[in-house]
Amino acid sequence: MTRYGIAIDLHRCIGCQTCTLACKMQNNVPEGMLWNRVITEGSDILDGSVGTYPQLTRTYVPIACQHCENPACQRVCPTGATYKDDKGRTQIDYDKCIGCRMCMAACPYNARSFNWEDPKRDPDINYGDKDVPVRPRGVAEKCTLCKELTDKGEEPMCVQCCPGMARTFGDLDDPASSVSEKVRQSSARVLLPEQGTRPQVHYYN
Amino acid sequence: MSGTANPRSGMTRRGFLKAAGITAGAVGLTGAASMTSADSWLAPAEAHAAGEETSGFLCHMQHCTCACSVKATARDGRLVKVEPHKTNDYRYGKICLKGISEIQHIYSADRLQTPMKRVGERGSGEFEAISWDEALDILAAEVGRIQDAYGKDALLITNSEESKARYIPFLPRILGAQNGGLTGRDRGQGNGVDPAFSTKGLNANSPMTIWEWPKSKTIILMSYNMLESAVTYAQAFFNAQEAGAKIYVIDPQYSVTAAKADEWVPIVAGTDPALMLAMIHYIIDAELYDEGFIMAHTSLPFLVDADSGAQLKDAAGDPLVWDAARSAAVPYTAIGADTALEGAYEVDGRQAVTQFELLRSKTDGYTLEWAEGITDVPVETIIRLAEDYAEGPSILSGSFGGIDKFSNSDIAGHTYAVLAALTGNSGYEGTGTGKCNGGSSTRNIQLTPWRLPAEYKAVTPPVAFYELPYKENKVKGALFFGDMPTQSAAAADNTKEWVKSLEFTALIDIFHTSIADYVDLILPVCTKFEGTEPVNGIRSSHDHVYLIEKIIDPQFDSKTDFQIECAIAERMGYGDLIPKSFEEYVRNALDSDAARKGGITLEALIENEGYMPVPKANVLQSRFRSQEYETPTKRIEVYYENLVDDDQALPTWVRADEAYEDNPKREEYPFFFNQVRSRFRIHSNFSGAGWIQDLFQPHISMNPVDAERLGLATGDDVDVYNDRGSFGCALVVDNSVRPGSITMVESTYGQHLNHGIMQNVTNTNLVERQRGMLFGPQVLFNDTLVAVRKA
Repeated sequence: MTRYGIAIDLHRCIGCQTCTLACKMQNNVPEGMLWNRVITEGSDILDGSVGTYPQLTRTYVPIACQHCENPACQRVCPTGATYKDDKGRTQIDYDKCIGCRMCMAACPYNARSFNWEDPKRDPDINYGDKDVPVRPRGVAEKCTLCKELTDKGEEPMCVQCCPGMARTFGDLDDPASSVSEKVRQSSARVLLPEQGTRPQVHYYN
Repeated sequence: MSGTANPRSGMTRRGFLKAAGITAGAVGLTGAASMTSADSWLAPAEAHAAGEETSGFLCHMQHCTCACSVKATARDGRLVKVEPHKTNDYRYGKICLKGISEIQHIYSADRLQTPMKRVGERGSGEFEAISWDEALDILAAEVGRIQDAYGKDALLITNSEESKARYIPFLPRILGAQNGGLTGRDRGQGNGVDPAFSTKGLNANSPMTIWEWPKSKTIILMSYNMLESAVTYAQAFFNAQEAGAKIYVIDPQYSVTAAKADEWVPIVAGTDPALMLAMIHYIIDAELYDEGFIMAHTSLPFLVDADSGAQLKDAAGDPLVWDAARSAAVPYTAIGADTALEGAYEVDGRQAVTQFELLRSKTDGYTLEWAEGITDVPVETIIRLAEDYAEGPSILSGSFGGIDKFSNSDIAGHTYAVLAALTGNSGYEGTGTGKCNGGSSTRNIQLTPWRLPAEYKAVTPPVAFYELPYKENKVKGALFFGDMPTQSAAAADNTKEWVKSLEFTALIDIFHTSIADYVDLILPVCTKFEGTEPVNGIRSSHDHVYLIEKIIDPQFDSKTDFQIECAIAERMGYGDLIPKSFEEYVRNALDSDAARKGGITLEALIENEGYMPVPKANVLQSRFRSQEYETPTKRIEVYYENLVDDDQALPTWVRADEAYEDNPKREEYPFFFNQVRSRFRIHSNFSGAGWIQDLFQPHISMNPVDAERLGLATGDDVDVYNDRGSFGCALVVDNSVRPGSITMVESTYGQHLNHGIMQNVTNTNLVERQRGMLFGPQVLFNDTLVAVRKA
C-alpha cells in the first residue's frame, strides 16, 4: 500500500505563510478560504509570543487536512463523498457531496471550508494548476495533498515552495522513505492524538 | 476534468479594470511599438509548456537580496502560477509568499493603469487619464524647458531598486540629469566596516556568503531579521544550526529570527556599539586575541604619534612598527618575531604607541559592567558572546536594520572590524564581517551599460536626495522612477513640500505609491511578468546571470520601463541614441570578455531557462581567503586616521542622537520608533498585494505594559506623532516588542494607513562625522522618538 504523508520540522518553520499562498495558488482556492494556514501557537495575533518580555517563546504550526488514517470526516459523511484513496490520501468526491457539512463539524482540525456561495476569486480567473477541479457552490473542500501533482510523482506545492525546507513528503508505508525516517528518528508527534484519528501529518522539532 | 472552466461571470472590480485596460492599451506608444518587434527573436519562452499554457523564467526579486529564480505560467494571457524554478542548485530556485502573491498583486487596486495628469492642486490627488502621446508631449516639453532654462543638471532622475531590476537605466545619461549618489540608508555599519577592508564595491557586504555558515561555530546577527527580510536564506540559517553553529541574534525585538536563534540577546536599541566595545575590552583583557593573526594580517602593530594621532610612516609612506631587538622603528614589511605589539616608544623625539596599545587604553573604561548599564545585556552574556566569538570561526553580520538606522551606526561597524582583526575571524572559511548574502556581491560579469557617446553622462548629485529640502540646490524638475522620495528621507512632510515646490515632477511607477499624489504626471509601468519582447530583462547578481522572460502582455495601458525610457528619449530628440529593441540592449550587455569566457550569450541563457552561473564569481572572497585585503598594506587596517579629530580613529562610544533612554525629550515623546523589515514587504513593495493583505495589515506593535498604561488595546486606531509629523494606523498589543518602544513594519503606501506615512516622524538630524565616509551621512530612521495616542 501507499500511504502518503508529510512530516513538518517546526524548528524550520518560520511562519512565513509561503505554504499558505502556495496552496491557495496551486489549488485555485477562492477568497475567504485557506486549505493550509500557519497559526502562532498560544497567541491570538500573528507572530505573537508566549511569555513576558524578554522571557518569550514562539512556535508556528502549519495546519491543513491531516489525511487521517481514521478520518472523523469520513465516518460521518452520509454519501461516501469523503473517502480514502489508493494512496492513503483523504479526498472529497465533489459530485457526491450534498453540502450537509457533517464533515466540517466532525473534523477536529477545522481543516475544511465550505462554498456557501459561488466561489469568488481575486483575480477573477481560475489560477493555479489547470487539472485541479473547480468546486461549485454547495460543496466542502480541503487539502488534497496536491493530488494532481502527487499523482505525477511530484511533491505537493507547499513542500516544493517551503523556504525553510521544513516539509518532507512521501510514503509512510515505505520504511526507507525520508518521511518515514523523519517520523521514526525524531520526536515526531501528531495533533490531537486523543481524537484517535491517526493523522498522516507529523510534526517534530 | 473541469479545471479550466471560464472565469466567473460576476466580475470583480479588478476584472473590470483588466478588461478596460485592454482597450485602452490600443492607444499605444507609437514610438516604441516599432522598435519592439518580437518577430526576429529566438525561440519564444512558450516552448517550455504544452497546450494553452505558456511558461517562462525570471529573477523575481533582488531587493530582498534573495534573487529567486522562478518559473511563471500564463493561461489565456493571464498569470496563473509562479513557482520555484527547478534548477540543479537548490539554493537559487526558490520562492516565498511575495513571489506567489504576484498572481493577484499585478491586478492590485493600487496598480497604476493609464497615464494621468494632475488637474487639482499639487497633493490633492486629483488626476485625469490622458493618452501616452499627450503624456509624453507634456513630459518632453517640461523637461526640455527646465533643462534649457537652468541647465541639464536641473533635472533629477531617481531610480528605486525595482526600476533598476530589469536592466541598467540609460535615460539619466542621455539627458545629462542628476542621478545616483548617496542614499542615506542601509550603509551605516558599512561606513565603519569598509575602511578596514576597503572593499568599496561591496556596498558594505561581506564577500563571505551565507552558504559557508555551516563552517562557522558562532554567528552573531546584529538586528538582522534574515528569516523575514530574506526569507529564502532560511536554508542557510538552519543548515548552519544543524551543522553545529551557534546563532546569536542581538535585537531589541523578539523577531522571527530571534525566535529561531540559539540565543536571543535583547538589547536597548541604539546601544550595540557599547556591547561591542565591552567585547573588545574583554577579549584584550582576557587575552583571547590571536596574536599571530594580528601581527601577520592587521595594522594593530603599527605605530601612531601619541600626540597628533598621525600614523608613523617612512619616506616611502610605509607605516612603521617597533623592532624590540633593534630598539628602532622599521617599516611594517619587516614585521617579525621581534616586532612589538604593545607599548610606547620614542621615535625621532616623538612619543609613539602601537595601535593595539591605543586600543587597549581606549577600551579600558568599556568594562562589562559599564556596558550592561547601557545596553541591558548582562555581564555573563557579554562574556559568553566574546568568548564564543573569539574562539571562532565566527561570523559577525550587520544588517540593513536596527543599529544601521542610528547615529552611531558607523561606530558599530568599526567595532566589527576591530573584533575581526583581534580574533582572526576574517578570510578563513566560516568567518565574515558585514552582511552576508546568498551570492557574491561583486559581479564578475559586469553587464556592459548601453553604449553612448562619451559626452552623455549623468551628474552625481552634489546634494544628496535626503538633504534637498534643506540645502540650496539646482534641482528644478524631477522624474521619479519608483517612489524613492517618501522612503529615503526623514520627515516625509518636508519631502512632499519640496516635491510640490518643483516646477515639474513625474512618477514612473507600477503602483500608486505614496508620492503619486504629489506629482504632476504619472506614467504606468509594467510588472516584470509583462513585456513586449520574449526577453524584457537581464540581471547579473548572486553569482548568476538571469533573464527576465516575458510571461504576459503589458496589462492595462502600461509600458515597460525600457519602453518608457526609449519613448522619452525619442520625444526629446535623442532617438538615434537608444537601442532598437531590448534584444539589442541584451546583446550589448553581454558584449564583454567575461561573458564570452563564461559562454554566456542570449541564446545560451534562453537554452538554460534564463539562468546561468558565473564561473569563478567570488574573486574577492578568494583574495580574502589568502588574507590579502584591498587596503594599501593589504592588511586589515583598523586605525582611521582621518577621524582623529572626531576621536574615532579607534571606535569611541557615542550615544544615539535622539532615541536614548535618558533623553529629556522622552517626557513628551516616550517611545523609541523601531522600523523593521518583514516577510510581507520589500520596503513599500507588496503594500497593495491582496493575498498578502489577507495575512497582514499595517499597524504599530506595542508591549502590553505600555498599552495598559495608555489604555490601548489591539485593534484601536492610534496616532503616532512627534514635533516633525504624524501618521495614523491600527495598534496591535504584542509582547515581542521591547517596553518603551513601538515597532512598525517598513513600509506601506499612504492610502492603506489612516493618515500620513510612517516616515513623517523620522529624525532629520544628520551626523557631520559621516560626511567624509564612503556612504555619507545616514538617515536616522530608528533614532527617532514618538508619542502614541488613541485616535
